[in-house]
Amino acid sequence: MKYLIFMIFISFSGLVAAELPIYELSIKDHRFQPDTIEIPAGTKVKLLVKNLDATPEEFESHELNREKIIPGNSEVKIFIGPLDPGEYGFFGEFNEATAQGKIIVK
Amino acid sequence: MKFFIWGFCVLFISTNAVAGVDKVYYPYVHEGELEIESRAVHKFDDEDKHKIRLGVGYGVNSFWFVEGYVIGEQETGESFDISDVEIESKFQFTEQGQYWLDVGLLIELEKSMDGDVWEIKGGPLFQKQIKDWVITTNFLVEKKFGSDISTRGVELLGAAQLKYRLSPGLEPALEYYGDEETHSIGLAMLGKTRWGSTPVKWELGGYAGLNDDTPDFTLRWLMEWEFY
Repeated sequence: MKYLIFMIFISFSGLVAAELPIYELSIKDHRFQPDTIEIPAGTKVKLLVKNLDATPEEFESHELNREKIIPGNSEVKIFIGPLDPGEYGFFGEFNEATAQGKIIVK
Repeated sequence: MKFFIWGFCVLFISTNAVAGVDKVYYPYVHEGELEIESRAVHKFDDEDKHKIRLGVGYGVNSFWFVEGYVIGEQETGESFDISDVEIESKFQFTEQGQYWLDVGLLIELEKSMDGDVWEIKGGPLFQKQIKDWVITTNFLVEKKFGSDISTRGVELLGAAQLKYRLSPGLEPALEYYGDEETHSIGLAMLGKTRWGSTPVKWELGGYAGLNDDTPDFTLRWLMEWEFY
């Protein structure tokens, strides 16, 4: 019964999650496009990250506490926030020299 | 902070003891990741006991990670032996940060090399981040079966970790491990570095026994090499 209640809770939470602000981000030629995204402070948002390259990439950020593999020619969802105002860097672990970006929270 | 204290209290009450020191599992799976893992637990008491695991795992998809282990043990006055083999599956149910709580599931099946002794273990993995603090709990149920087992019944195990996200290279943590007989609490250091171009995660912890059934001191370490 507890499991059922939990799953119902998760289902309702899913409805809430579906209404989150969405920001799109692409990876092409091992670079993030755009490389800077501005989001509101204190708000959870959903990043839709599309990897347009044929090789996998890993979205990584210690500041955001996120580590997510994006297979080649695929798309993943990454949930971040709510965050305090500031700048939060992220990078592509497999192509760190070129795949760099930041999220500015205002 | 109240949440952290509450979490630790719940774990203590609900397990009524600690599983042996091992590893705190996170409820996340990395698709396409090939992982080579080495981890060990060294128990120091009247008789010392050392247990080491070598594992190879793979992220089948964004939901399921499977890993196989060979486990070796050595006790005071005895030689080192391969004692068990294990297959483990971890499932990620929620995206990190999607809901109030991140949820996963761990299931392990272990076979002793000494007789017809099997052990199945499983339970939910939870994680919650609050600012730079992350609390993780593992609630597991363990059941032995086979014609050569000495004890029957179900045992409850648990582990909890309160981690401070200091830097990518170093994250200190307070950890607790318990089962129905033993309780251990101690400090661990966690980090991520690179071995050439290969990301390597490492953990090192020292734990004090909280009752007479628990080894006085336990040391654990872990290294994970990640390939894609």
